[in-house]
Amino acid sequence: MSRLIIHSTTFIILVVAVFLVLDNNRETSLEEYDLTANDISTNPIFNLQEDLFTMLPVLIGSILISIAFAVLLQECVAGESWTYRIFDLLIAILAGIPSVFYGLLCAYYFVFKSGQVSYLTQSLTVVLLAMPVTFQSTQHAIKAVDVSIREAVFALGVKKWRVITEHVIPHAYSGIMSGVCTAFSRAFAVAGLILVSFSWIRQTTHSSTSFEIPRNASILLLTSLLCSLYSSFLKNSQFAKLLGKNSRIK
Amino acid sequence: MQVPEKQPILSIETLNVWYGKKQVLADVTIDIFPKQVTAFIGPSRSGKTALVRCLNRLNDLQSNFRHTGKIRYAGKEIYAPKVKAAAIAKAIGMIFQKPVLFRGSIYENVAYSVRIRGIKKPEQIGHIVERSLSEAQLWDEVSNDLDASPYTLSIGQQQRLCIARALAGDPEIIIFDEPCEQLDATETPKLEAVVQSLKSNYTLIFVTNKRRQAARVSDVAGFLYCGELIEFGQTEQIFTNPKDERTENYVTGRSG
Repeated sequence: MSRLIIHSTTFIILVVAVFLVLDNNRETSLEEYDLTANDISTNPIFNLQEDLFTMLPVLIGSILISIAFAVLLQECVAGESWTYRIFDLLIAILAGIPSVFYGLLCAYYFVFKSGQVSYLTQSLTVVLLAMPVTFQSTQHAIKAVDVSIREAVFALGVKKWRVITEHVIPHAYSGIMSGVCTAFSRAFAVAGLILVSFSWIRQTTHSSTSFEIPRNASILLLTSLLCSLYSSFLKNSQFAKLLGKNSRIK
Repeated sequence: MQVPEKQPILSIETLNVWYGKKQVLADVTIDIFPKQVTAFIGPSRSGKTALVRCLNRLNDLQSNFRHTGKIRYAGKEIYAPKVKAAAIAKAIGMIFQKPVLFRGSIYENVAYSVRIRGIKKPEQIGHIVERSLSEAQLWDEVSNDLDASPYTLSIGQQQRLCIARALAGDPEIIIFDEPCEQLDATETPKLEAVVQSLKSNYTLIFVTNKRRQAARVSDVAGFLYCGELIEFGQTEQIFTNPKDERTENYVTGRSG
């Protein structure tokens, strides 16, 4: 459990650090890359640092909720029951949809249709992006925990809650963490891609010759890349073994 | 041969068990007496494991498990609504076919089940760990490197570590579910010796599909065949003078 907290904290600090170091010229980026001249130009929608600090709690919160929900569904709702099957199917569908689709849909409905950006709409987008993928990877990680471990702990007379927190989650740790990183990666990638595509449209309609990727979009894409790299490191069994050995020596 | 005491510690009455629609046990009635080894023999898929898993409520983890009949432990019905599964599992320990190791060192593996009992003082935990490991006849082999990973041990030692872990939980009954399946010829006698030495303090239930092993370790034996308890009695009688033809065929090696 403590490993989980340490790793996620390190990870979040890294992400924030990348933003703080790289995103230092936000005023010019705001002037240059506003979307349309009319209503949104006054909204600092591409202010990355501000967005990060408002959205990071939402992102982390939604990830925590989906992990908790996945554990609850996997451990407490029986495998054959109706509720489980329906949730399983719905989440699989949601997680299977490419994240760009969510991004575009939300950008269209929440930003262009309503003409404003609010905390609620931003949060909804982030929740839609992060929750299904975290949920699914947590579910798979928990399913992969060997039944014999669960049985052995239960046979010692341990209560279900302690079986989950002391044995199931530590065993599923790397799977859960890589799901979290994937969720981060998806959120950043979608934001970056939409930024790129909108500024591309804007630039080509005004001066059709050249195109530059906006600085803040490249920061987002870079962070996304880092997140997915971290995720694949966690999935890699050798890396996980290394971590496991270190913790054992302590 | 021990003379059974009058009061059975576990009494099973007309137990029927289903997994989904498949019935795996039919009308099993047994009394298990304390301080002796009760063996269940029979070919694979005869319901031995399903039977012992009912005793410590491990079948609760199976979502399609269903049962009728009564199991009483020390006079109390274990499937009564108010009885907690964890409390039953605490009193009835279990050793599995494959040794299951927890994360952490050899010491931590045993200390974990001491902590479950609510014992927090380090000296006391250390004392119980040492006692359990010696009871499982493993102390001499591991006392020098208790902080090592349990995966450095051989399979037989791992299995005895699991026994020590079960003993540290202070159970009254210990179930051995085919514990020697993965063990070789040199490890098996050591485990059987542990079983023999534990007999004076604990009630042991020993599931095996090796006939000779059952004859060696047990005082009382039951023969299960296709979910039915064919015969139950003193081991000597089961192996030398079986009443049922199916038992005779099995113990003499003609079937199963």
